[in-house]
Amino acid sequence: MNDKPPSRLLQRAAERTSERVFFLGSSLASFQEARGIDDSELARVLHCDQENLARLRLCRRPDVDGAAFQVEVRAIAERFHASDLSLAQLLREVAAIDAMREAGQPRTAGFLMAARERRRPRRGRHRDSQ
Amino acid sequence: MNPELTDPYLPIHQRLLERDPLAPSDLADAILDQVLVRVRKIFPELAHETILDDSVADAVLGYAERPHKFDPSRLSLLSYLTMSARGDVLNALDARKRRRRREVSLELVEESPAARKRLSDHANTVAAADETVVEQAEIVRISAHIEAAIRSPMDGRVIHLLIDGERRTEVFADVLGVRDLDPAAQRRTVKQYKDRIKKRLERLGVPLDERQTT
Repeated sequence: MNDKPPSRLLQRAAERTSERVFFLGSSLASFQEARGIDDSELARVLHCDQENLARLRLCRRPDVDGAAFQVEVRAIAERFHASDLSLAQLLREVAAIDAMREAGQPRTAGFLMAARERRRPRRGRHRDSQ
Repeated sequence: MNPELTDPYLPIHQRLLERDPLAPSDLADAILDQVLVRVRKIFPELAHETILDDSVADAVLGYAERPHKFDPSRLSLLSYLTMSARGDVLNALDARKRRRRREVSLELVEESPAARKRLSDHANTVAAADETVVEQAEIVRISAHIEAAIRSPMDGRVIHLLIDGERRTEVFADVLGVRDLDPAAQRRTVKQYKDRIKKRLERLGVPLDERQTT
């Protein structure tokens, strides 16, 4: 990985990925918007250095339904010293938000919780029924 | 010489074609600043404007999204991105020129009582679902934008008041039919309605004076 701090232009380009669904930056922006969090909190969620966020945003967004999802998430996380589990979870949550938004529901914090619930495996319920 | 033989960015291009998720980030790291240096030489008078940064960023991001559009046998990647950014700068300058022309036109309309009255009459007429031909070409053009912003007779009346420079909450509250609410609720309702109209007009390229919408 390039260890130099990101240039001003790189930061600018990274900001502009928020509106381009091809880039990971769009997912990170959706997640930040839904949670109402800033970059320092986002870095904490991903267990990475805040300085790495610009380069992270410029990666191609792995497709949560793609066969290579796990491999791609791991490659990105490894490069930028982030948690692959957290990144995968974030991408799944955003995909759930997008799916529900397409169904016409708003993107509020409560809505995000509902989205997480919807994607969470139902182990607890299964245990209850035993 | 065939650019393919000398282009140092071909390995990244290949990775983009193979959909390597890290390739766009590596590309940006490697090439953004180099493209900016070249574009600044083309537009030295804009060297300190964000328009150059944004155009270079968009050119690189756009290429990362669609790498197959670049043909390495024709020119180097650096030249391709410089050309692309140059096109974006020219488009942005053109858009800026059009925006300025529109703002000047609207200022003229605002400063001319006669023109304002005609524009105001036109908004009223549209609200009544009638059609009027406004003679002066600039007013016709701006009126078309205003027309597009009117989705109900109430919209037409509110826009008419805004153009007239009306600022009294009670006048808007009358139009909106909320005079029976308490003053705070009236203010809130009027502000929400005006904000919505203002956003719609802005999207259509009709910037209203701040005083008209507060």
